[in-house]
Amino acid sequence: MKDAPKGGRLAGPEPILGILLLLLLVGLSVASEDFRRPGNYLGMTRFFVEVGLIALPMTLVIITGGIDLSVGSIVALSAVTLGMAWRDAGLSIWAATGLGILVGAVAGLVNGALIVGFRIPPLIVTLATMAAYRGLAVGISHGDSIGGFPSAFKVLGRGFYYLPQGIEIPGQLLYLVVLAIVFRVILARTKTGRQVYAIGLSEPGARYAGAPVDRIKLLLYGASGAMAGLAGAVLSSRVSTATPDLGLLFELDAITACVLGGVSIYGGRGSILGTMLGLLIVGSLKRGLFFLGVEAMDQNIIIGAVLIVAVFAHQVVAPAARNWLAREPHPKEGST
Amino acid sequence: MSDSQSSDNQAASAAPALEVRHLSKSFPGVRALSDVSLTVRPGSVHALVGENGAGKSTLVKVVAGIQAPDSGDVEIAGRKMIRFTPTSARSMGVGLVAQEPEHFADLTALENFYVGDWERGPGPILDWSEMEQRARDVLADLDTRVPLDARMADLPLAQRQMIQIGRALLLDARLLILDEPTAALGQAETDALFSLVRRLAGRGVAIIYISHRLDEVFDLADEVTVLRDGEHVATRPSQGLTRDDLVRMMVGTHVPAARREAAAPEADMAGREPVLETRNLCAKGEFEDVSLSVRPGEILGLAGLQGSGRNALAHALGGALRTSSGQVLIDGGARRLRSPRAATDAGVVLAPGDRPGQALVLPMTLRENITLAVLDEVSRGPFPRLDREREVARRYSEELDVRASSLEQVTATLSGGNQQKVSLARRLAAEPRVLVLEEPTQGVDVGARAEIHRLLRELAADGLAIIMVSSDMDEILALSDRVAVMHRGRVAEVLDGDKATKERILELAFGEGVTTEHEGGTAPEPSLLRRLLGRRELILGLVVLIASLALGLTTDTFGTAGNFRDMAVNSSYVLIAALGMTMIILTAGIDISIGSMLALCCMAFGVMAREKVPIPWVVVGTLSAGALLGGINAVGVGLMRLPPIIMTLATLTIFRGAVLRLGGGDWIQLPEEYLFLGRHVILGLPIPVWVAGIAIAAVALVLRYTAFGRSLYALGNNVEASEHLGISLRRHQLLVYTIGGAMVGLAALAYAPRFDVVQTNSGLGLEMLVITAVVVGGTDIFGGRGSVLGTVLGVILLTLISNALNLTQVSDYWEKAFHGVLVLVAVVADHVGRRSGARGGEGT
Repeated sequence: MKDAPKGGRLAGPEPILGILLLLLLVGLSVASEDFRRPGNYLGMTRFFVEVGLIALPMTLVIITGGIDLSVGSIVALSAVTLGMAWRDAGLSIWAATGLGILVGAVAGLVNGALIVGFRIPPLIVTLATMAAYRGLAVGISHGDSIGGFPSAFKVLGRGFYYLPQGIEIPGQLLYLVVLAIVFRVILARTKTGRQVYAIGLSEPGARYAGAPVDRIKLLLYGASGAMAGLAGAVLSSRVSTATPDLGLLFELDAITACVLGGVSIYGGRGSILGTMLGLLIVGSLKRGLFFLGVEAMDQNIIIGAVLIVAVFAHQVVAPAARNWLAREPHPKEGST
Repeated sequence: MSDSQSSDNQAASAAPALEVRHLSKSFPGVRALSDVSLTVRPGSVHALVGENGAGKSTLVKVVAGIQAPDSGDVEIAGRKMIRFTPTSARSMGVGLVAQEPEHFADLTALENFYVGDWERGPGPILDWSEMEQRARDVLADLDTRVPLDARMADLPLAQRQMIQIGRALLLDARLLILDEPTAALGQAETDALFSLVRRLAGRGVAIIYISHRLDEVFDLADEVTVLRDGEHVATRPSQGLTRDDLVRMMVGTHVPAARREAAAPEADMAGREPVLETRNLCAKGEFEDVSLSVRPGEILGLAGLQGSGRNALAHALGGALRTSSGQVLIDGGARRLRSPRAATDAGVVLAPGDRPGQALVLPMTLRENITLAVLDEVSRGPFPRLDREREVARRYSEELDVRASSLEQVTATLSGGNQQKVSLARRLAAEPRVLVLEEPTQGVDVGARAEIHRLLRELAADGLAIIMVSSDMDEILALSDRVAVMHRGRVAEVLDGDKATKERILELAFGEGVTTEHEGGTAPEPSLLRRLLGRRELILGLVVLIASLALGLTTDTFGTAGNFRDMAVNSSYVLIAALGMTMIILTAGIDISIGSMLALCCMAFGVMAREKVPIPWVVVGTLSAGALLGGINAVGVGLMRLPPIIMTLATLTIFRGAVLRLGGGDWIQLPEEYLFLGRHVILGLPIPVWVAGIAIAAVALVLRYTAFGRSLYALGNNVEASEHLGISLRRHQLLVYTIGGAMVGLAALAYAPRFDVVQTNSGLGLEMLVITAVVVGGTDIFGGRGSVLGTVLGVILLTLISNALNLTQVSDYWEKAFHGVLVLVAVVADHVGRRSGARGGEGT
């Protein structure tokens, strides 16, 4: 029996998305002078790295057939925790940052425990905790915004690294790239990654194969919370304040990036590369629209529409097309 | 009634009630029916017998329109069936009482009579008293009594079956199909059923009776048809037929496959210690007191009927089913097989019979499937190594002679036989000491079947212990060293290979001659917790009452008329939106866009008011705006088939963006004359409160007294069964999201004119408030259960909480957090209630 060809199941939409992204970048560069400023291409990533950090674990969560709607609220909760731990409890800014991320992780683990322990659909659990965590963030901070962080804290969200030619790279872009590689390795190269796909394709099938389904789910929601916590820290650093209304609608942007990137909302399909391409498309589109004078709320109309079209294309149109292409009759028994 | 019946009888004597000609039906890898013909006369009882998998169920499914045949004709009372749908079969007079009746657990017995065939009174309003009367008449006719207002899930199986039969009679069925109706009945109930069947036959109803109990067949049937391997063997009058004749026809005269040579001489075998032994193993509701053992090199066959506990036992050994007591010993030491992983570690590996669902992950490749359970062995650290994976996959797929184009072929594209080989390959790769097989050759063609049998013999010869569950008698006889026959959860007898014959196994499996103490049919009393949780409205009512009293006693302002009126006005729009949400959640849907929708409707109202549109048109316009926005969600969910959460998450942002577009980003000052809609007081109450009251009455009426309302409950309970009864999910989704939108439009009318200006941020967080109220009010988030009263009480409770937080000056920042927690508590309480009551009425 031959080994090759590889792929088949994983032959995804990444090439098409890459072309789409290129066309979009070219189009926006032609249309907007601000967009084609040399510093913009890398600089604009600053505005969507936080969503990108959330989209990484979200990719794995959605591949298992779940969803996490509470991430935006966790961003606020951990940002507020960070701010208060630093301002009121007198922790050093880095200890406070660590605490914020830890709170995010705990919030995520609570989601996971409710989902696994009581077999409540992730949708309901995270919809409820979306309200609960946001309320908690507002409650503990009394709606205050906390600012005046020490300048060292700027490194997280306003820092730069320089390439040899003097090209500026936003610091957080590096973190995102490193973490994307980590998540990509976990998903595509490890036992756990294989089991994540198996859970999404057939949860009973994965259980009967001995996969630790509950443990993996618990960890994924925990990771989702931790990454949302990190995003909260980066965001507070970038905007120099920690307020309980940070991260509003981040869940929408992250889910849109995943779904646009080819992650199946029913589980079992998707890749980190796809999600990152989805993120770049959504992020550049938003930035381009901003330069073209489209208001933030109108941008949201467009992002919402992109989400609907993307889900429809991936869930309904693409499978129909695949079926149409795979019309060839099944190989007969015994004919190798 | 009696007139039409006698004329029916005459017409019936001309044409057979059922005529089946040359029916064939194949499933991938199996020929379920092959050229079967059958005639059933009106007024006769026609028994259908055969072993498991003989094609009985497929035959009746085709006749009942659940499956379409590949070729052949079905005629009902002389009329040819053209469309094979359950609805058309029912309209032609076919009634099916399935083995596991398709029912709607949360609907009442009475409603289960009528789902999909709602009787109407005058106008579109359901006339429940008339419906109840007709149901009672039918039940009296059947000589049975069923509490019509009981929840279906709380009724014992016998009564649920009676309702299925009654339903068929209510629809004037002229051909009634009973699929193993006595499988779960006690003696008294069986007798009652028999006399009923005889009476129905006396009235000219034709009856097809499927049973594994041959005594019943002789007792009841006028004629018997025997099926074997999907083929028609014989149809004989039951008179003059003997049991032996029947068994011989069922078993067939074909020579059984060569009996397997014992892997080792008896003496040697007896000397070996058992590798696996069970001691008094029990799993509640599945099997009890099972003590078996299997030795290395031995194949132990597990025979028995469907539901005899043999499959549950296999799954328990594979770690996939919790046992309640007893022990499993591996090499003499007790092991707890808590999960498939733990069982594998103990050396016991299960190959489930459900290939697409459990045994394999079909969309994965051959390689991935084979290595999925042995990832540790093919990995270095956390990383599976492709070369080692390929080596293992190649070794085992070659050993099993899997035929595929490459190791990277997607498993789903393989034939049934090759899929089964992949499943076995994965199990063997785990190097088990005991292999537990469930239906190893089901849906597998003859060639592959022979190969798998040969392989199993070789494995046993190499010292593997095999436990094999099979419905295929030839397979059991050909492979087993010993055969354990299960009957109603117990091991009836363990036969040595040479003493096992088809006849003996069938006898033990059917339990004939054995009197059982089994008293089927009495549902366990639901637990107190369950009953309390089932009365959510009662609990809520009490909570509301106590909370009100507490607030009234501790604060001065709570008890004032003004405070009550304020609360009523403030919550009216929430209540109206919650009524729409209740309908949506009943279908197991959700709409999180209602907050933005409310803002947009308010903005539409403001723009129209600013332009001085006459008030009636403003009202119509606002409602239409709501219906239009809801319609957008309806198209996404109902037509484009997007998950409701994704669709409404997207429209949540789109609508919110549109609010700014429509209002130009500014607030709109409302002209004075439009404010009376929100402020005018009639009989002491402002208009919004009246609107909410009318909405409550209207939605309660629709849910209780219209076919549409009841269909929502049916869909939420059981989509598949609903579709079988002609209730379309998509059509109801289209309607319910649109209505939900219109209700938000109405909510906007109760909200916007209370203030001087329309703000752009109205309705922020409304979705959470509304979902909390609905879920706390007892509407099941999985659909099918809920009431208007519950939702009203839910809204009242949330209003009280908000009021209390205000009065006691607890910061209302916490309110939102509290809502989220409340939803979780309500859902968890539901879950606990469901689990504690899960066994209620499910007795098999």
